[in-house]
Amino acid sequence: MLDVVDLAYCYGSRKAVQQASFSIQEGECLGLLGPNGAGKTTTISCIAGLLSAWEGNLKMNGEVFRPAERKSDRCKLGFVPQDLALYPKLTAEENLRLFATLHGLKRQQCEQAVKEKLELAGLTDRRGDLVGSYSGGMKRRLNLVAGLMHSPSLVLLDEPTVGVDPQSRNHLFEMLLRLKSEGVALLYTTHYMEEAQRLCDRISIMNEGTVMATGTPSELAIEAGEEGADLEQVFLKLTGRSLKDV
Amino acid sequence: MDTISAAWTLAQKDLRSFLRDRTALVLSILVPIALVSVFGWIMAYAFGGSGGMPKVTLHIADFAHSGKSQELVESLRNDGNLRVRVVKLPEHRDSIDRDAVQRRLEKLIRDGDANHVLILPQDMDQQIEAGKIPLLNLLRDPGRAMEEQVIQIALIQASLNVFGGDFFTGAMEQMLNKQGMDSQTTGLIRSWMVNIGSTMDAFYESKAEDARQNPKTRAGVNEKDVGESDAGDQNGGLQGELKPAGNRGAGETMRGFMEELLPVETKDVSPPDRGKQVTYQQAQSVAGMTVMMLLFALTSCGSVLLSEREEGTLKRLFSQPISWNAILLGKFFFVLLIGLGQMTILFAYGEWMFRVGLFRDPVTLFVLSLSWVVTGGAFGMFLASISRSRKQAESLASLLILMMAALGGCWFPLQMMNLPTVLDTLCKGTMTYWAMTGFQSMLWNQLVWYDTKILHALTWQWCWAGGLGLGAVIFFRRNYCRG
Ligand SMILES: Nc1ncnc2c1ncn2[C@@H]1O[C@H](COP(=O)(O)OP(=O)(O)OP(=O)(O)O)[C@@H](O)[C@H]1O
Ligand SMILES: [Mg+2]
Repeated sequence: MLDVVDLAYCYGSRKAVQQASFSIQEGECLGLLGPNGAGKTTTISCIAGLLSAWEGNLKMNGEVFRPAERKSDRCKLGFVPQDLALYPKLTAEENLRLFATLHGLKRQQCEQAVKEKLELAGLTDRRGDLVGSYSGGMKRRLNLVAGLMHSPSLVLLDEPTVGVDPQSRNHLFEMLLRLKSEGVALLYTTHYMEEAQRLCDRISIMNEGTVMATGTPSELAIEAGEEGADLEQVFLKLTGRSLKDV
Repeated sequence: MDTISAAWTLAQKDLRSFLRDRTALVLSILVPIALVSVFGWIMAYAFGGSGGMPKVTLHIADFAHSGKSQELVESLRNDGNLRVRVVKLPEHRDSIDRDAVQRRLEKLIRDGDANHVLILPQDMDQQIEAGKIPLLNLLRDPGRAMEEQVIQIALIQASLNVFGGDFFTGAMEQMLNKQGMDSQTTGLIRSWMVNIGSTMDAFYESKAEDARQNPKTRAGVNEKDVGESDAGDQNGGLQGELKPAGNRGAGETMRGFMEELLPVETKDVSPPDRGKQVTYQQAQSVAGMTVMMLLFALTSCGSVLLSEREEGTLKRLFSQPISWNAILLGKFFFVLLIGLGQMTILFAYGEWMFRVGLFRDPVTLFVLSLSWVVTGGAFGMFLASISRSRKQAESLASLLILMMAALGGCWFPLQMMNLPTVLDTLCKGTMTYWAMTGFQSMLWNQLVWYDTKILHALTWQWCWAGGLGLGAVIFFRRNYCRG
C-alpha cells in the first residue's frame, strides 16, 4: 500500500532521517520502534505532509505520493500526532465535527462520523463537555479518533498511548485492532516493546535516522544473530545501550 | 475543501473558543470601556470643560502695584485662554529684597508649582510715562514653549487694552532706536504712523457713521460667526473686547487694526452638525482608546496562531486537506469578526457615555472602522507570523502598540503640540496616526468618508494593511509552513 524508499530529512544541518526504507501492506500494522530521537516523528511527519523538503520516494498503491503538495494525497491518510492536538475550549463533539468538516464531509456524513467515533472512543456520554476538562486518557482516545474522521485507509500513529493508564491503553489497542480488522493499514511508532509485540505484524527498528531492520520479532532476532531472544534484547543489540538523544 | 469555506470553518472554531473563555471575553470588553471612561472624563475636566484647549496658568508678580499694572493684570485675567494667579508680595514694596523674591519665583518654576511667572517691574508706570515699553520679565519652564505662545498673544492684547494704540508707535520707535536707527528717521516713521493712524481713524469714523445710519450692517470681520459658535469661554476674552466700530475712540480704532493684524483668527468656525456638548478631548479619547485597544485585541487574537503552534493543533491542521492559505485566512476572518464586534461595543458605549455623535453618519463610521479593523488585523497577523512564541508576540505587541498610540495621537491630541519636523514625520509614519485622522475628521470636523482628508487617511491605512498582510503571508510561509 505505502512504499517508503530511501527517505531522508535534515533540520538544517542535522540529519534526522537518512535512507529509511519500509513498506506497509493493506490491513497491516507496521511498528516503527526506536529510541528517543531516532527519527520516528520526523519520518511520520514527512509521510503526513507536515514536512516537504524530504528526499527519497514515497508511493501509495504504486503512485507517487506527495502529501505536502497535494490535498488529495492528504485525504488518503489519517494522522494522530504525538502531542495532543485538540481544542480545549471546544467540546469533543465540536472538535470532531471541525476535523470532519475540514475533510469535506457533508453535514449528514459528518454527524454520522462524529457519532461513530465518539462511540469508538467511549466518549459518547461526555461528548458535550469541554475537552479541557477531560482526563489524559480521554484526551488520548479523542486525539486518536480525531484522525479517523474521514475513514482513511492508512493511519499514521505517533506514540498514541503516551501517558495513559492500562485501562485506556487497552481501550486504545482494541480500537486499533478493530481498525486493522476493517482492513485499515497502520504505521505505529513507539518505544514500548510490549505494545509493538501485541499490535504489530512487523516491526522496523529505527536508530539514528536509519531503519536497521524490518521483520516479525522472530525474524528480527535471527537478523540480530540472537535467535530466540526477546524483542527488548534484539532492540538493545541493534540500537546499542548508550543514551540516544544526547 | 475550498479555501474560503475552510477559512470560515476555522474562524468559527476560533470564535467559539474565544466566546467560551468568559473571563477573557469580559476583560476584553471591560478593560477598553474602563479606559475610554477614565480618559474621557480626565480629558474633559482637566482641560477646562467645553473650551477644548487647556487653559494656560500664568503667575504674575506685580512689583509696580499701580493702577496701570493692576489694569494689565485684570486684562490678562479676562483672557479666556489664561488662568492668572497673582503671587503675593510683601506689603511694603520699597523694602523688598528683590533677589530673595526672584529666587522664590524661580523656585516656584523649578518645583513645578508654576510654569510661567510674569514680573511687572516697580518702575513700570515711570517707563510708560517716559514713552518707553516697560521691560516685563517672564520666567519660564523651557519645556512649556507652546503655552508661552498663548501667553505672548494674551500679553499683546492686554498691553493694547491698557496702554492703547499710541503706545505701539512709541514702542516701535524705541525698538528701532535701540537697533541703531537714527532718531531723525525714527521720528519720521513715527509721524507717518500717526498719519496712518488718523487716516484709519477717519475710515473707521465713516464706517461707524454708516453703521449708525444703517444698524443692520455690522462692522468688523471678527464678529461674523460661521456656523454655530461653541467655543465657549475659549475666545471670550477677545470677543468681549469687540465693540461696534461706532463706539471706538481714537485709541481703540488703532487697537482694532492691531488686533486684526495679530495671527489669531478669532472667527468661530464649527461644523453645523457637531454635537453641542462635544469637546475635542472627548472625541479624542473615544477615538484614541478605541483605536489603541483594538490593536491590543487584534494582536492577542492573532497570537492564537502561535498558541496553536505551541499546543500542536497547527500540526493537525496542516495534515488536513486544506491549503495553508485557508489557515491564515481563517485566523484573519476571526480577527476581523472580533475587531468589528469590539469596535461596535466600544463605540456604542462611547456614544452613550459622551454623546460624541458617532452614529451620525453610520456609513463613514463603518468604512473607517472596517479599514482600521483590517489594518489592525493585518498588524496582529504580521506580529504572530514573525514571533517565535506567544510571549514574544505579546511583549512586542505591547511595545509597538504603546509607541504607535503615543505617536499616532491616541493619548493626547497631536494638534495641541508643536512638533519638530522629524517627530511630525515620525507620527505621520504610524498607522494609528491615520486612523486617528480618519476618526477625528469624522467626529470633530464632521467629514464624510469620501472627503479627500478621510480618503487620504484611508489610503494610508490600506497601504499599511497591504504591507503588513503581505509580510504576514511571507513570514507565515517561512516560519510556520512545511519545511
Ligand atoms: N524542529 C526540529 N528542529 C531541529 N531538530 C529537530 C526538530 N525536530 C526534531 N529534531 C531532531 O531530529 C532528530 C529526530 O527527532 P524525532 O522527533 O523525529 O525523533 P523521535 O524518534 O520521534 O523521538 P521521540 O521518541 O523522543 O519522540 C532528533 O535529533 C531531534 O533532535
Ligand atoms: Mg517522536
